[in-house]
Amino acid sequence: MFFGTSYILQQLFNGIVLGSIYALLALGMAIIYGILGLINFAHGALITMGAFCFYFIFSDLEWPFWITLLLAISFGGLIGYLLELIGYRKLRGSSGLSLLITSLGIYIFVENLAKLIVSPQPYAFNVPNFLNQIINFYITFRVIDLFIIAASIFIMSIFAIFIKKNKVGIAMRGISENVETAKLVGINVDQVIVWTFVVASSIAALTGFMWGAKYGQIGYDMGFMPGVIAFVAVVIGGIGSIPGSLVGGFLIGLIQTFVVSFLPTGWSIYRDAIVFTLLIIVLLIKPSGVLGRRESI
Amino acid sequence: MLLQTKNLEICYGKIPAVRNLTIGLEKGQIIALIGSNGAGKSTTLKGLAGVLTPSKGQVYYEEKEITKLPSNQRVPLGIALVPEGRQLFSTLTVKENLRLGAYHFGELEFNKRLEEIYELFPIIKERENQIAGTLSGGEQQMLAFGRAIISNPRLLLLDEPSLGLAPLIIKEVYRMIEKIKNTGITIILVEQNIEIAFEITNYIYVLEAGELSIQGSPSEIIKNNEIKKAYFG
Repeated sequence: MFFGTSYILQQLFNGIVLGSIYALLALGMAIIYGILGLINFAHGALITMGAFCFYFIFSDLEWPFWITLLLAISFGGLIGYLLELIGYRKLRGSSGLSLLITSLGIYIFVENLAKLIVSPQPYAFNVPNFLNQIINFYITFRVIDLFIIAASIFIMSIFAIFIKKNKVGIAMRGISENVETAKLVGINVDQVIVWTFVVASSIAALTGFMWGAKYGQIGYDMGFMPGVIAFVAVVIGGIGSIPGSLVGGFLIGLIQTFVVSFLPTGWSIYRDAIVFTLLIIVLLIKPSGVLGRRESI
Repeated sequence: MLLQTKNLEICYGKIPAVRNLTIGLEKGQIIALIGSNGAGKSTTLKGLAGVLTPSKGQVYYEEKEITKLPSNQRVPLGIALVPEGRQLFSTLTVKENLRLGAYHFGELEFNKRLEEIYELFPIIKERENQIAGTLSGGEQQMLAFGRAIISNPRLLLLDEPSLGLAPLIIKEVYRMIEKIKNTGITIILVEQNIEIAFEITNYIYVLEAGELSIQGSPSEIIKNNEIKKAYFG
């Protein structure tokens, strides 16, 4: 079997698009883990909520695209704030297991609520025409693909500056290292945790839009698999490490795309299974992940 | 009075580590809490800093009751703790540690305070972008002082600043404490090294099994036979 350069480049590009979405999700999961030691499975619910928020405002209310997108992102931030306030704050100091089970519970609750509200049928996800415009430039892609990559790079860059230069960002790193010292030096830990949830959840809501725009349809359970895959990305990259989670996200995006494109037809149904196999291999060979050294962001 | 405690009791679980403690200090003073291991010195400091919440009694700071106030709300009021073992954020840079010490300040005020700290501790400026965990013990202690002082405290709580440091470095650390005192900051010092404590403080409280046993000026305390026997042989 021979694959031409253009075909390989095409698949590489597709992998980067998918990897960008996973990397953004993994980034959110990693910062929440770093600060609370919580593997937030409820993160997947934000994908669904972000996508449906966009759908209802854009398709039903017919509001302008950019305003709708901003509202969907803000809605994610608001839900993240409420999740922390109602779901997790009372559990502060509890075992990691209690937090984990709570996050799973929240996910199941939201998924079922979504099923009740929006029906179990998938919805066609409309985006403005310019995003579906096809560009042929050695490889073929849509504007939405470029949008996903550009938005991801932009968010990652802003976030990198934020955690290095902004006092709340530095405090996130400080809290992830030692929450008691953080309190002692005068950091309002509750406020920083809320910000962490707001930032991570806003990004997750944006990925909900990206997912819908990329695949053209959304459903009540759409957040589950990307949420789990993002968790795998975090573990593969090195749990607690932000650069690691980004590497993990891109790696999985590329692997899933390559499985579908380069392996014989029929293998594509195993694309998730192959990711989990990779997880097992990484856990066996380097349990701390590719870039993981210690549990600190 | 800058700070006053009345019948303070601080517990770990149900076990009181400090009982019935009434102390006070005036602005500009430097006082020491001394006592053997487990006497309740560090616990008292943690109670004053808001890290531990007293189960009984009251803490007054500048005539206002702050007994139940958490530590992050005491720092903006002007109370800062330099904890035992320094407890720096070892994965953050020196400057980032200082930024977190001045968390309640905006960027402008932080930059202004940063210059003052660099003036007070020039060695910290040289290490500005170094990861705190890679500093030497003495440098780490300076950074711990800097991180507390950048919050603009009127009351500084120092928990065993000489712990784990070489004798030469200890001397340097105490020169720094004198320097800090000269800026007008009031200091409560917990120290195992009694000779140093006697040298630089105005007033001493001796704790024994969580309770106040003796208090007085260093010259009064040194006359006490029990203290002489316990600390000076």
